[in-house]
Amino acid sequence: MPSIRAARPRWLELVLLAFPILLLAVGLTTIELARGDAPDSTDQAQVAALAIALFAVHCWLTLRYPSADQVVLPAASMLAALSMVMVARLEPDLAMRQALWVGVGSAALLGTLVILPGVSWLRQYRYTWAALGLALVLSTFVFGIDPNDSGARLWLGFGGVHFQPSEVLKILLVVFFAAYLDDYRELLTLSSVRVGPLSLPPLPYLTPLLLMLALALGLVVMQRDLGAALLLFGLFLAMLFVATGRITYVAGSLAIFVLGADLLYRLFSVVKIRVETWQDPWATASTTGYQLVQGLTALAAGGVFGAGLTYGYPEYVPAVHTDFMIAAIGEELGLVGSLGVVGLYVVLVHRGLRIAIQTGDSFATLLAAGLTSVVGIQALVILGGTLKLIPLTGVTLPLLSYGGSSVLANYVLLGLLLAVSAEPKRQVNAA
Amino acid sequence: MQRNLARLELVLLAGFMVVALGLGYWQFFRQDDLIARPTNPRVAEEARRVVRGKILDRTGKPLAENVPTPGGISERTYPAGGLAHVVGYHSERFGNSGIEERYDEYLRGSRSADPIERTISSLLHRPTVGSDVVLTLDARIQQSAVEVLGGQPGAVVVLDPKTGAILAMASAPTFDQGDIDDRWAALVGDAGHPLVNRAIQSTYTPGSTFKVITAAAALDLNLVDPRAKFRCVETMRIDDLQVDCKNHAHLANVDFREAFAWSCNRTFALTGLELGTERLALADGLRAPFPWQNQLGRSAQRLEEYAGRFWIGRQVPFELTVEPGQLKGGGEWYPSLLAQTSFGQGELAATPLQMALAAATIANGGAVPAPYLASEARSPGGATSTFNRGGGTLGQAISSRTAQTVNEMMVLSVDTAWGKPAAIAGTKVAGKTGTAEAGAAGSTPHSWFVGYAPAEDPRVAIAVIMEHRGSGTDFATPAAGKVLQRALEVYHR
Repeated sequence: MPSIRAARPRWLELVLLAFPILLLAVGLTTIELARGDAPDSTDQAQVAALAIALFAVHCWLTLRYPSADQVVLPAASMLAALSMVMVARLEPDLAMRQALWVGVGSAALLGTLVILPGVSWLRQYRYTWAALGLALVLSTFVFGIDPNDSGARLWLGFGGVHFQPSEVLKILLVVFFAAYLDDYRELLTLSSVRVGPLSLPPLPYLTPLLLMLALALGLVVMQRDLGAALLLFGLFLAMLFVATGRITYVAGSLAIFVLGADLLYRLFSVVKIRVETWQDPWATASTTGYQLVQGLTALAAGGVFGAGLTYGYPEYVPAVHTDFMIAAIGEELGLVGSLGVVGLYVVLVHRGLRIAIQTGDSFATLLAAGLTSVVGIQALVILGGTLKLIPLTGVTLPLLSYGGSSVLANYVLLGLLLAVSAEPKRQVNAA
Repeated sequence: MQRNLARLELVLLAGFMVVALGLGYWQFFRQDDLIARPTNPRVAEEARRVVRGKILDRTGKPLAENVPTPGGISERTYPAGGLAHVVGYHSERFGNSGIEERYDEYLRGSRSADPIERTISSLLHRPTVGSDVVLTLDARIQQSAVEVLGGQPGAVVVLDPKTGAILAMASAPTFDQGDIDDRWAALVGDAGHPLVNRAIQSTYTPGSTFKVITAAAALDLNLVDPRAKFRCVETMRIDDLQVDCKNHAHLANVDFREAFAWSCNRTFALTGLELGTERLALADGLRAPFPWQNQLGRSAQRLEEYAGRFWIGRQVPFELTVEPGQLKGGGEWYPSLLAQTSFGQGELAATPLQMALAAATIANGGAVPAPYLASEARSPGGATSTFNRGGGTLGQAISSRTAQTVNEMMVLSVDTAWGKPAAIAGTKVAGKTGTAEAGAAGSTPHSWFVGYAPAEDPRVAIAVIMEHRGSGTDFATPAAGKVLQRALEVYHR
């Protein structure tokens, strides 16, 4: 239970929060001026909404969680503000929707902080969370729709609002993995079954965990949601490593991953096409390689300083306001802007893992590490795919891409991270 | 777990470091490469947003300009007709041609007379406005040239012989630059070759108009007294070639000037063959051994020399590419070929521009005027950069004395002989007709005229060709007269 402590001012956070609000105001004004329009009331409404939402969260943290991390919220808000600017630039019709989602997301963050009776409450319902996540993904098989013609039915629709269950699944799986790994951490770390020179993990203890992972991966792979599969697998590896510190587990899992990837390559033409496109996108620049080639061309066109907001041609890149947001940022804000985005993710990852290190409870540590890994890995998967570093698989760029479920899920994730950071700190010398 | 967390952070940060390097790679190191690839739609996109400069005639009349459309992107229109070849087309899909291609950098604003103005407006993200390009063409003379062609295959070139300024350049059949994108396949496949600018891209047998050059060579070498009469009625035979003396049936005795005016093939066959001798022997009664028998090489070499001075078979320096044509093909000279070449047949091929330059050279006192089409570019801010002030020459082809004599002969042609249909009341016109045998045996010859006016102080020179139309005197000559008259009305230097 969060105990009510004496309210302490959070000056650092308050000062830092001015930046995203400034970024949004300047960005929206720039767009209007460049288009030859006067700044209109919807822009002011967006800036006001963001300011109010952030101030509300800030006040609640000041009153109830004064010791919570002071950098995570401003860093995430910078990305959210940049997202609102870029959506207003790329899809003006969706700008208010995205603003609304950031508002709803902030409310969800606040709600998480208000409702959550304490981080350890989550672990009690580990199997419930896992089952809920799987049920949501399973339901897309029956009720799934594809509102954006992406070729996969990954969304659920309720009255005009589309919702992507895999975004929720990733958080629920973090909670489950954290709870399970915390329970069996010592067993997994200390004991092992020796088979000749190999030391294998005690399989019986791992079974529920692996079963869960296999189910989740199986479901998303059957949905052709390769990005989500990569993310979930990376998340599992990260958490397994944090919990056990055993390189052999990681290496073994990677070996299984390679086998699985090879199987998928043979089984699904979509995987084969992705790999071939990755190897030489220019060979199919007008068909399967189109998105990748146009994304890279947009980045190149931006150069170091960018074309300037509204002066580029990012609309040639398919899905530029969702998965390929970095291409638009790179084209119009240049290398300076795109590296700024990478810098914000680095700050988020660093602060998130710092929260994990500092918290006193091992479940909370694993939870914070998992939540941070989700943000970091997801950003790496889509950025690496966009930059032709790895085969392209579609996931949203956390906090930047347009999309309700993505924004909402990431704000809940931030809420949980902030909640962990407010937990009692680890005692010095407590082994 | 603290150590594990530190290691995880290391791995994740290494990942972001690779991503940052990837961004630097694509946005910095591969920038120029990717932008230049055909997969980049931005080049075309920028071009579409540019307010392309106008192309103006010498009086400021727009020949090509951009008109705003409701979509916000302006559309290229060509308000003056009949200029499709010279002005050219501007197509996103098929590129540019003519002046649209040659001065594209100025028109699309990537080069400007005022680079500072250009840089500032690019930094301020102002829409790029191209420079206007001012041509030497006169839309009124051009219209007259188009009218006389009447859509039948042919070409007209009009220029100022003193400055080299091209005043009109018409080619028929033509096309509409406005719908090049829709009609491309049909235009390319059209047997009439409407996309070809016949004035500079087609070479024709020049026929008797080439006698201007043969005569100029003989006079410049001082091989003949232009006023000495000689008897000329015989048909002559050079190996297999039979040359009839039929163009001046009413005159038994002629001088060199009259032989030129009446376009006597026999006289000019002999002139060419005897260019290598000391004195032309033109009178009837020539018997073997012929005077040229030991001089053929020297004669041919001298004809080559003079043809070259008139830029026949050479690439004329010009803003648009001009076909060089040829004096003869790859083989050796032989008597009948040299004879035919001398009166404009054989393997000769020249563009209408080259023949117009030949006439202009006589009008210009023997100096070949350097032809040009664009005089200057005007930046949106009003700065100008001059391309050409006119008056350049491509060398002195013949002495001014020789030019004066050829001038008299060309006046004689229009005053008294085949050139009469080009006469203009109150103005002395100089000219030479041509009836060029070309194509399959028995096909109708090309009709030619080259000339200039006024003869005593020439302002305009002209070449007209009408493909397979008939004799020079019946078709090209009256047409040239009309265009010359119109040009003299409107053009004052």
